[in-house]
Amino acid sequence: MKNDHRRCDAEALSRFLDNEGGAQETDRLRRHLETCGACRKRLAKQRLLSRLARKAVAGETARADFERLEAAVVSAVHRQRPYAWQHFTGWIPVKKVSIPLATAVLAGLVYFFVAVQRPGFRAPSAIINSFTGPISSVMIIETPETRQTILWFDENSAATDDDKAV
Amino acid sequence: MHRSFSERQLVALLRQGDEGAFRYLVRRYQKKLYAVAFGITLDREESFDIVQDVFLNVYRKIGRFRQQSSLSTWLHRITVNQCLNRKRRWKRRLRRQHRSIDSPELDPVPLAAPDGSDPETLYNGKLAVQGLWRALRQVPEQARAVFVLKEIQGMSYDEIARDLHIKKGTVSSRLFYVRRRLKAELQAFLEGETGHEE
Repeated sequence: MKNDHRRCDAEALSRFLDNEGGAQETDRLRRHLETCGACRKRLAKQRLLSRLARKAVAGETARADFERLEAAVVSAVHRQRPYAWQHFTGWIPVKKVSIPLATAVLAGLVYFFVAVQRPGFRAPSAIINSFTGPISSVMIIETPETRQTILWFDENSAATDDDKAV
Repeated sequence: MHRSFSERQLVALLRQGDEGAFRYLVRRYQKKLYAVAFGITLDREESFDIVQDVFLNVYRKIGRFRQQSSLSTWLHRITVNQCLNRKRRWKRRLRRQHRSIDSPELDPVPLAAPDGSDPETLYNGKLAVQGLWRALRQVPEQARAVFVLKEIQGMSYDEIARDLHIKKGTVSSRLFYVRRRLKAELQAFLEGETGHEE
């Protein structure tokens, strides 16, 4: 069987290298590779590239100063000790508990202020004192918030008195 | 410190703010996270900063870790996100004296020669690594992230697609694109190494 170069598929070969081609594609490529030297070479180059990349990164990693990294991380953590509430959120399921809890507390507060503490019309608690004289009337009214004094002037009586005075 | 923890124990201790557990976490994962960060950023100090930020984030946000994935997966996901989303990168780079990855000071990355001692092989290996970094710097970071997650982390296409919020087909095409660029850059090296197979 001659090489079937029409079926060379470089991207499929890349998937083949990664075992990601699926059964049908893998089977087709396996048969193709048996007869296609160019694709075998492509595959060998890809494998070599993979090894090179892994070794290069491993070599780079071997050169890094991880003691310095660890010291820097631990030092930064010491500077950023978590607040108490962050520990708290660590052991409660945050969203499942805290949101309904906050909603319930808020609803309770709203109910308390709207229904219980609602300022309604307050009648005077008592008429403390009242008297009527020839010049005016005076009424002192006390409510929970204020103490008010109301005066009624008896203009007729006043006029009469003025007239008398004149 | 010779303590050893199961993942569940480790998470529980981290939530209590246990420093020993935190040090254990750092020692256990720092190399892997650094490898991922370096593969994507191709910058040592940048990778160093990113890994440090990842651990600090973990320390602060361990309470939010719901253990629906493994701790390792969560850490790698944070690292990749930090690499791709960082906004301070260029600011930091400008602050420092920029050093090219191709400079002699940065480049003695020892690519272990398979046969150990042949100077020519070592030299060719060094050139190949230089070429690799040069080619990787020319591809977009998103594509580089796919390459690193596949080649360095050995993740499946599905895992990469999920972590990077892209389609599986996009993972395949980006990998193919990066490999093609690398092959073009390293043509001479690859021909020399694989020429005998044809």
